[in-house]
Amino acid sequence: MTDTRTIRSHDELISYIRHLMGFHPESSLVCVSVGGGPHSRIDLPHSPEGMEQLLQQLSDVYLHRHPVRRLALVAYGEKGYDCLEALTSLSATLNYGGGGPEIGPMLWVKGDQWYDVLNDSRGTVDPVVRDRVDAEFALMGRAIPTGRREDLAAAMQGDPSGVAEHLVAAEARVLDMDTSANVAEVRWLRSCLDGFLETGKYLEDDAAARVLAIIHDSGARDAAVFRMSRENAPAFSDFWQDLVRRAPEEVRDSPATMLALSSFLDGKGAKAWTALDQMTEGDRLADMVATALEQAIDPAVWDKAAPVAAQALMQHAALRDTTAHERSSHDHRRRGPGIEETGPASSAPGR
Amino acid sequence: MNSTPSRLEQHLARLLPTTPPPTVGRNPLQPRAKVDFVYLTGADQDRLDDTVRQ
Repeated sequence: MTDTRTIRSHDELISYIRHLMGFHPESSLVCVSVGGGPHSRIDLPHSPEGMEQLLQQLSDVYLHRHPVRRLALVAYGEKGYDCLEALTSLSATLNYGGGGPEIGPMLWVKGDQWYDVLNDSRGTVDPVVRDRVDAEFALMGRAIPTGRREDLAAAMQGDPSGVAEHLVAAEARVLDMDTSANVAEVRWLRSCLDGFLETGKYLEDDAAARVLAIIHDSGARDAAVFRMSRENAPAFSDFWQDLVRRAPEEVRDSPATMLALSSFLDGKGAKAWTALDQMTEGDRLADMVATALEQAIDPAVWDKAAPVAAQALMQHAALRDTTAHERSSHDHRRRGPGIEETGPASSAPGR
Repeated sequence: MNSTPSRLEQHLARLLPTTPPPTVGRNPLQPRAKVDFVYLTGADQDRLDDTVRQ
C-alpha cells in the first residue's frame, strides 16, 4: 500500500514537471521546491568544470539567495551515470555541513521510466496519472506542453510580411510627431494594452506596426512596462510574443525585450531567456532582465516595487502632458486652426 | 533608443542590487550556464505541495 502511494506520487510529480516548465525537459536537472521558492532547470553538464559550475550556481540559489525547506531533484537523461552523478553531487553539496534543504524524492527519469535513488525503487509513469494531471491543467485553461525547450524559440518565429506593409508609414508618422502627438500616442498605446487585457484579441497589422513604431520611444516603453504586473503577465506575455512573431527583423528587439520582461514576471525563466536570445543588439532593459534571471529574483518583488516607480512616472507623464497641452494650445493660437490634426490617427486597436 | 536611462531603467537598476550577492567566487573565464527558474503563483504552488506531500 505504501509502495503504491509512493509510486503514485512520483508519477504525479513527473507528470507535473512538464507543466511546471512548459516543455519536456531533456538531459536536464530539475529542482522542484516544495513549500515555496524558485524551481529550476539546468542542462546536465558534460565536464567536471561544468559540474562544478552547476553545483555553484544552484547552491548559491538554494543555500543563500532563496533558502528552501525541501527540494525534489529530478534528472532527465539517457545516460544513467551522468544523471546519478548530478543528483548525488547536488544533494551532497546542499547538505554539506547541515542546514540545507531536505532532499527528496531524488529521481532519474529516462523516457517514461523512473528510478528513485534514495530508496532504490523504480517504475513507469502511469499514463492514467499523466492524463489526469493533463486534464487538471486543461480545466484550468492551460495548454498541454508538447515540445522541448528548443521549441520555445520556434514559437517566437512568424510571418512579418503583414506588419511590414504598414511599418514604414508608421515609423514616418512617429518621426513627424511633436511632443503633444507623442503623448497622445503613448496614451493610445496604453488603451491598446488595456484593450488586449479585456478582449485577448491580437492587433491588426496596421495597429501592430503602430505599436512597433512607438515602442522604441523610452517614454512609451516605460508606460507599457508599468502596465505589467505579476497577475497580468501571462496575458502580456501572449501580447508581446504575438508581436515578436509578426515584427520585421529591424524592429524585433523591442517586443522581444517586453516579452522577456513579461515572461520573467510570469515566473517563466526559460521563455524569458529564449526571448532575450532573439535580441540582435544590446539593450539596457534586456540586460536588467538577464540580471534578474541570473540572480533568480522573485518576480513578486515587482508588484511591491513597481507602483512606487510607476507613481513617479505618472506624475512625470502628467506634467509632460500638461506642458505639451499648453504648448499645443499656444501653437494652435499662433498657427491657426487645423494644426492639431498632426496628432495620431484614430485607428482603433483590436481585430 | 536614448542613451540616457529612463526613470524606469534607473528604478530597476536600483532594485537589482538589493538581492544578496553571490557567495562563491565566479570564474570569469567560464560562461555561466543558463538556469531556467520558475516561480509559481500561490495556488499553483499549493497544488504542487499537495502532490509531493502524498
